[in-house]
Amino acid sequence: MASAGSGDEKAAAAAMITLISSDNEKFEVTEATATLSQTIRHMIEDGCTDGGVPLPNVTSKILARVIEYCKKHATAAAGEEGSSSSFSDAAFLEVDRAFLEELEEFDDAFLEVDRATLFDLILAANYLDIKGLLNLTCQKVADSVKGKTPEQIREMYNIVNDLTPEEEAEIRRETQWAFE
Amino acid sequence: MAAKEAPPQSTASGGDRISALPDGVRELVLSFLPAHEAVRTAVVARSWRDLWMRSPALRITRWGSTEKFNQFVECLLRLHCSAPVSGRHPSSDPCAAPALLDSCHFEFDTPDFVDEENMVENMAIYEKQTNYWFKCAVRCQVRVLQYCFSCNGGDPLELLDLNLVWGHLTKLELAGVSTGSNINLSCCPALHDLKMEDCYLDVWEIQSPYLQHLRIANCRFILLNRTLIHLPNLISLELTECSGRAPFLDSMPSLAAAIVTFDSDYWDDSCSLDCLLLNGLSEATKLELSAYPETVVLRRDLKFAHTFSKLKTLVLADWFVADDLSALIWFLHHSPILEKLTLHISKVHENAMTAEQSCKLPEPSVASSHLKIVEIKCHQVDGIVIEILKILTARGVPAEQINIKCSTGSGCVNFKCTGFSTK
Repeated sequence: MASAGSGDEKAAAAAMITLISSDNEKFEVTEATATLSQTIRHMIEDGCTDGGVPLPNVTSKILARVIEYCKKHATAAAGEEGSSSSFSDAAFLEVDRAFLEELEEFDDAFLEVDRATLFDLILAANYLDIKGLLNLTCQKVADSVKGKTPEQIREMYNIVNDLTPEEEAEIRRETQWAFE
Repeated sequence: MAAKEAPPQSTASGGDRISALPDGVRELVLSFLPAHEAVRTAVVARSWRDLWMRSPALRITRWGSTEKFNQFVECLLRLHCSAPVSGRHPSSDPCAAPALLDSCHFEFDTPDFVDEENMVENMAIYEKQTNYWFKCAVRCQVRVLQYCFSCNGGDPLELLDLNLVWGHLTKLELAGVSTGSNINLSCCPALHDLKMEDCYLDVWEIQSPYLQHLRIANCRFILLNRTLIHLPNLISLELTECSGRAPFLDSMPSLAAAIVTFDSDYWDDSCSLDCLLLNGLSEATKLELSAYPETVVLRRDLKFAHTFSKLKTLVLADWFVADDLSALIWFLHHSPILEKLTLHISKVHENAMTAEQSCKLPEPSVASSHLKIVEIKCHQVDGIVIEILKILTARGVPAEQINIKCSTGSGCVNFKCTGFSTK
């Protein structure tokens, strides 16, 4: 997949952005990678990225993972942006079809993290406004509660039931139409 | 500025991380659950009570009895539509603006209908209900609507009416449904994206002045008449593995990319005196056409087709080998700025043409100066591949620009053509 879009890559290579984690570690990334984050995209558009972008809410450990995700997905996004077609170039070039599969495998492996890291990734994706990563991580949480009763969900995520028995009974009445 | 909406620093893993998520994130989590499960989380804790009503997507899957389920979908859509954007109770402020619903997904399966005594009756109830549900979804100003029925080879669900009036709808996906009314999307100005899969299209016409992307896959067109596809602003088209009578594609001046692949039982209406597909595709810059060698539609179309004046990338699979590669020769003549050509040959052709049989080589006068890459994907370098090489070199394509990829059962061999001589 080398030949196409090499011009874009050159332009992107010229523009590097420095991201600074909460523990003051600096990460140098291409603009194409960084702009997967809408938050950073807006900062670039506003011209306030000189001297680096401080991200006081993201630790270096999480930022490194987020950048890993963005790097991988930036290539895919570039392909989609180039063509206005809904199926991009993927359908035409079998190389790209393989790449999409590779991307899926990458996502699966990327999600092999402990729960604390998963939530940190969600917070970072939400703060940096990276839609793909936010969906991916939220889907993972959803999958974990699928088929579980409210009691099981509480237990799983250490949620304190702050409803009085009367309130709980009232809500159950209100939502009776969604229960067997 | 960056720190303004700072999320809290991560806490120890023992805390309730999920309830501490910022606004909108838990709602997003719920949007990935089946809708009935999302509603049931209302009793998890106080802050979860109305969460599902703010979920940006509803995934409606079958549960319970038919009667119970119908009641559920109605309540779900009614309450979600009436939920205020913020606030605790749906009834507390009737003037509040309705929460916008990003997407609504209906996902059904054949077994959803067999658990009770009368499957046919149940399906008929659904068919009636569906149009009512769609109306509810319109009220929710839904932007993406997906209606999928996995019919597993059985009868599709019939949708009564696809002449929708939906100001907000941007994307519509249908699977496993049949429709007998024309698909007229002229009243959906925001609808740019339509996907249909495993559908039975008993329609005369599919039309919209707004649609930009269309995918019709594994669908069956009605045999009795020819479907007219009139989409003057279409940018991308996928028409793959369909059966029934080939549709007529009207002119699409904005078309950028198209993929058309044929199922073997495509109705080859060889007596038609008009170009069915190719003239509709002639503005494309990228085009993939695959069909079995015996498919007539495309080859017959070539007799009436115009020049592909914008075509830069072309993929041809299998059908072009028939009639001494006449389709390939046609495209080399009628795509003046073609840059990349890919040819797939999925069958080994035992009876290779002899040089004497195949002398319809084009005049070598015009070199294809734009043609930079040619890829031939085949099982082995047989007579057909040799013929292709002859045609290409006769067109002035340097041999070293031709890549041949051979996949023989176990492995795959890649090589470049370095020289070629006709004995």
